[in-house]
Amino acid sequence: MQLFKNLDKDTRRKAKKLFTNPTAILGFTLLTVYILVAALAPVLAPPADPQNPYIIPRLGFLTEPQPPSAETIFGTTEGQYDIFYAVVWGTRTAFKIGFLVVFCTTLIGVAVGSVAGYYRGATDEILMRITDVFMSIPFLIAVIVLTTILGKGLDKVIIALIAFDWMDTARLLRGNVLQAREEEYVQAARSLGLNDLRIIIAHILPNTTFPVIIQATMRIGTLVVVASGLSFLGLGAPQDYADWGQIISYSRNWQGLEFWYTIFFPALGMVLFVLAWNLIGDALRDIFDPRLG
Amino acid sequence: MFTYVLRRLIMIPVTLLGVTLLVFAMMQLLDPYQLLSAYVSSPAELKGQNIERLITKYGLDQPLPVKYTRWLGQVVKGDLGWSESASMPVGKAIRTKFPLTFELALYAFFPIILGGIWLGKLTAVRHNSAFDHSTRMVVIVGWSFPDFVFGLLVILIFYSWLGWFPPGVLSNWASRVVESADYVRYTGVLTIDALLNGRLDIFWDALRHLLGPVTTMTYLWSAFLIRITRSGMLDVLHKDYIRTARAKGLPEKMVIHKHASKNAMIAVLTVAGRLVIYLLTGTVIIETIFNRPGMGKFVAFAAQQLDYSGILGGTLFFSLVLVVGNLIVDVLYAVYDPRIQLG
Amino acid sequence: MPCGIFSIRGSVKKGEKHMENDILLQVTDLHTHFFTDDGVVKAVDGVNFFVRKGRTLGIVGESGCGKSITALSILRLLDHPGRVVAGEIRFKGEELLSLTEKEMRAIRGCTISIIFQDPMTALNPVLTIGDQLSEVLLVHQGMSPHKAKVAVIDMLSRVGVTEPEKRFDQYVHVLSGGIQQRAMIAMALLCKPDLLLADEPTTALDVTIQAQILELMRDIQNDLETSIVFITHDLGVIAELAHDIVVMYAGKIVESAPVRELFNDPRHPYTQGLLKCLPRLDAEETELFTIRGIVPGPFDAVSGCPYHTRCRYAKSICRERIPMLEEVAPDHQAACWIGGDEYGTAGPILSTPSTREG
Repeated sequence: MQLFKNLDKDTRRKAKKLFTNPTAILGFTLLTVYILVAALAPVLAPPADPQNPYIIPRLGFLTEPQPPSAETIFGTTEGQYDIFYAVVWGTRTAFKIGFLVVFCTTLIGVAVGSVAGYYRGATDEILMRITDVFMSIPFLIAVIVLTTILGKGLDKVIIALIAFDWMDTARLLRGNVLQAREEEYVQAARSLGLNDLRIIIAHILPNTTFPVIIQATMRIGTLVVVASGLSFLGLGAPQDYADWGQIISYSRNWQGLEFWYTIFFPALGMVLFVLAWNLIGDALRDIFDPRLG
Repeated sequence: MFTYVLRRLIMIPVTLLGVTLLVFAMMQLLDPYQLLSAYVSSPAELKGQNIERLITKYGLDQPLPVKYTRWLGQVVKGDLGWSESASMPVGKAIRTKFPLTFELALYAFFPIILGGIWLGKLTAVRHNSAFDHSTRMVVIVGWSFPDFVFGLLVILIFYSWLGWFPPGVLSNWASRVVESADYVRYTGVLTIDALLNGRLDIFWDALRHLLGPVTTMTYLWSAFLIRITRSGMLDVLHKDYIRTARAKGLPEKMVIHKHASKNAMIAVLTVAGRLVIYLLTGTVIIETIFNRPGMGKFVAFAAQQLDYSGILGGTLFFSLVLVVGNLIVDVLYAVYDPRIQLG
Repeated sequence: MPCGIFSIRGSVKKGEKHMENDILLQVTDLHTHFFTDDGVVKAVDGVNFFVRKGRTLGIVGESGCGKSITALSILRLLDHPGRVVAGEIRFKGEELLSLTEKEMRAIRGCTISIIFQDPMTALNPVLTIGDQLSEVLLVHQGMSPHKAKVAVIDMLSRVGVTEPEKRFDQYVHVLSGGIQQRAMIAMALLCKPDLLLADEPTTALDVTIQAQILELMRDIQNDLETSIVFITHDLGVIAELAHDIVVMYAGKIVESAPVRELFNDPRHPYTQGLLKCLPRLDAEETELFTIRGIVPGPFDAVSGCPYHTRCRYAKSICRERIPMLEEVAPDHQAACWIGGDEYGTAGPILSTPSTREG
């Protein structure tokens, strides 16, 4: 609450606007559905092995995918993996990845950015050069490389994502801190002899974190897509893991129309998830700053 | 202006050096045996050799700075090692495969840019109209499709069902012609080579095979461009000089196309530039799905096969493209915007 | 809302011709509202004034009082969500508010021009000066680009821009503030408008340049017989240029009078306050005067007289009822319940404020 009070009146007014914007409402509704699905996963799709709920159960050993039936609402894909199960538990995987990566990258980005922006000079130069170097490798390529080197697995994917996604946040923070630094309340705080770290955390960050939050929201969708992409290529989640990209990868071998369900349901799950975040991000951007995109 | 370009040019080697450091750092996570493939020039060397000898030969047991300089020396000379997954030197793999990626980028670029800018302008000018909102919905949905999902759907609909776009780069008969002895490989870009060889039929065949990936990329990426153009235009349309233009009694078309567009295009230009860079470096999944053996697919396959030299070489290459591309974009931006008369 | 009856004869300024005073622009009961998500802002709340041919009307007031919006309303250049909701704007006999957009465009930049406060942002950064200035001639008079160039260079030198041929091909950002503003003035004058609206044209400039621009505008008026509506928050600036002044507060006009009359005998406490804020070298006070309180925000509802919360003379009637503009002297109107006689007409500047509560 204290943080909220430190925000200016204008920001608060805009925050309230968020809850009446139709795009945002749609986004939040979708998101709520997903949160519910993720939370209720054990109920909606009881795991075969409670110790390893992320392993998709196989209803048999048929290679060919089976269409939806009373038993399997979404059907099964190659190897008779239950698609419904994969989609439901895949929601949890998506949230895990999204939040974990965004949380870590935001921490790193905020730390790097605020130090660079606050201390300026050589520190800033060095940090910015480092940021530049990290940004000079195309994101997907960098993640692929690091994942391959570290070994396959979802946790490696998460590490790789964190390693290469903090830069935008860092630059954003740096810009904001550079600006806030010159504000009177900061100069006042400094003249009072307040400790630097305290100044950064208590005074500068509250008003600069809103853009960061907006940016973070917009990134979650992309991150989940990239992670799924990696799983799709076989570089991320292991074969029977409940991950959307993973389950979709099977449909590559079954491209006939009669196997529509192998791609349709997981695709729907993914697209609506990303859509939810995009809608929210879009609404946020429209309300706060049309130029943030 | 000149000094600005010069300054940026000087920064390139510095940044690239930084990239090599980063890549090298990642390499250290591998053990020497895995690294060897990045050093040897042919697989024959690897086979039947004493690993210890090889390690000494390539200085892989030396301290870090030595290792780094040796490796860097090799890289600068263009020797990126041997790619197991491609069965050829990494350098050669890049040379043969990149033109295909370039070709895809070339044909995707124009529809994306033209369609995106046009729609972006239109929605900005008709801000908050029904057209604006419906286009935005289509755009957001498009943007929400992961590329592999949309690609698979495109294949499902247009290939499995309708039989229109075949995957791959060429039909079998065309491939045979291209690989034959009398067919000259000028650039590696299929469509251009076909024209240069006077084979219109191959040209059309290659074009047909491009339709699938290009359509996919156009739908996904024009969404991005529409949004950027729209917000750029909206931004500009609220500026003071637009009000002045209207206050002079200029016709609205003139206000939008002459006064607003040029300013909005400055922002769009940077985005267009980044788009090109992305089209060149981000097609890993599209190429994999549509079976185009370009650099993207090379990296994906190399990763799957644990071909370390392949992915490392690919990374260095892509970074080079990215850095140089960014420079070009920045220079173009400076040329286009009269305010950037930097000394 | 009836206007006072102004006498035909205007005051004579030094060196000016005695002119025939027909009315060029008449604004009657203008209401411009902004329909925002947070509520309706009554930016212009019942404004009446007129401008005589070849004369300058000064509109004075603090930020947010609606003076700029008034000018934009005349040319119908309001951005969404602003709209003129009521009133009449008669220009040379024509009712502007009932014209089509196309007809308005013919007027803008041609018979009525406007210049803005910050030439750096008001001029297009990616087009040359010559290009932007020629446009008005190309569009309104169908001139050829070549002829237009000649006319533009001529006008640029007339407004005091040095090396006009060189400036023609230059971009806005390489010019100094003074030259930018002159260029904007030139742009506004190219079609020889009957009326020039100037929205704080000197606010963004250095004091010395300010003086030059004001002199330029006076010369223009003398040469071309252009009427000027000069909008500013600075009474000191307007004293030199205006023939008549209108003081605005919170969207309403609180006082209007010929300039000399206003300075000699301000009747509205707000005007008196504004005058008192002007620092004078010969004054005895050592402290600068400020009007206590702040302008009400766009959504703050104020009952009765909008100024009463800051007025030292406010009585209970001020809180309850909105005062109308009434004639307090020939040609001179003020909207105040207390009226002139309470503090008499002795001396233009009031003594140091007492601590008497309102």
